[in-house]
Amino acid sequence: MKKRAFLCGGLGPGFHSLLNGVREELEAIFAEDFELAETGEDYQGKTACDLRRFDCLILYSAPFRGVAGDSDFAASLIDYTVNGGSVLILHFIATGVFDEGAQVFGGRFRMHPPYSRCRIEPAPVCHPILEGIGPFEINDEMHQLFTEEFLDKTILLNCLNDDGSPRARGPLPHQDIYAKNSGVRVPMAWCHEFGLGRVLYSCPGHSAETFRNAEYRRFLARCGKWLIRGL
Amino acid sequence: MRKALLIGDRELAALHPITGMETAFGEVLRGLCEVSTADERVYGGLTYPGLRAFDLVIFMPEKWRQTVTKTLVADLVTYVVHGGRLLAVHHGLITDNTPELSLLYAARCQDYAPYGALDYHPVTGSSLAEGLRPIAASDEPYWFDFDVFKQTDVVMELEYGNGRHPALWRHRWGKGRVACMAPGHSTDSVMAFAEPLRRVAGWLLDEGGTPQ
Repeated sequence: MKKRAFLCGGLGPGFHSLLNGVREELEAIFAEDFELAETGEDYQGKTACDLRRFDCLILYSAPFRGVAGDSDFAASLIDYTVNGGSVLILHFIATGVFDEGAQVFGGRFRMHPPYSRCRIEPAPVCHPILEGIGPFEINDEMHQLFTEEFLDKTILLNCLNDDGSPRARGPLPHQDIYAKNSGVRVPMAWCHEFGLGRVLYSCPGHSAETFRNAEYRRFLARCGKWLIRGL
Repeated sequence: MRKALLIGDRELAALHPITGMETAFGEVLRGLCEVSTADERVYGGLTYPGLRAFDLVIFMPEKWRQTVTKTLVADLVTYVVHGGRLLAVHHGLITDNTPELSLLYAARCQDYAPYGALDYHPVTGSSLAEGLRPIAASDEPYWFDFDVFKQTDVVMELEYGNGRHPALWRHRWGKGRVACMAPGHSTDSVMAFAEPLRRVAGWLLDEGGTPQ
């Protein structure tokens, strides 16, 4: 039986919208494990009980503008997560708009270099999500984040330098935006546990084109299986 | 009268038993709340609904790896994010492999040094520190790395080595409130910090009653 997911994202015109093909691509990527039981922007009124009706929340550049750390929704989202929920954050890390969300989900958006061709490579770690996943190239925005250092994250994907050489991370508590020129390896996807729950963030996803990359589709499908304890 | 729950180890503790702490906190917080305890025989079974019965949780277990389960951590986070008030004291701040609590505390213990005579100072700029006097107490000095996202109000600092280090701080977390006090190795130390502790407890308790 398929798990139930809430795909939360904007439905308006312009970029980072679930329209323009993104919804269809995500539905296909996760088809084996999830049904998108609800799609859209209607998150504000949802309580933790409401969220628990879903096995996974997929936050695609979710329109969380204005959500405060002491709001009902912030409390519900953290309650859901810490008590065993699964949260997949794609592209814009919307949970970073409030401090507790930046902490729990691992980061806050800072800026990004221009949309361009990027080489993505699996991190040199042993993790079930990465089994069979190879490097790939996509056109996308590689978001720079301030990152939470207290979490025990497993970095899954990195954006590498032009010569493809992995380098040690810099000392700053955020990702380096200009990895291509700086020699710094930039994490593009990670996973971690929070309490009894699971969180996975993956940056690529500015438009539907990204989700059509075969290797990235395989990676995301395995992320979905990990989130529902299927790996 | 409001109710506080002191969570700590009694028989299990090698260095920091809560025996005596309940009396010390009861005395320091007299008039603000009544203090009861949950030791290692019972606190592993605490749940969010159970915690909600308390206006304040004072957290200072010693044997983390043996006693604190992921479920209890989840219930503590749930308690705070929905409006609970948490005061973490001394060894309760040693979070080991529990990043969830480091996030609640907005700090992660970096290191500590042996027990000795120490000097603590109120921090200029903290409204809660106004009028407080420096405190000389014997304790273990702890120092911390602080979170990059959650801003906290440092009320007291430890003078140690060539610098000063946060020793008592407070912030809101979700709908709740959190305060952390690094000293507290002994009941004498808790009593030495009676005044700043009462102020912090007053701040923790002053909005609403039992967390919703």
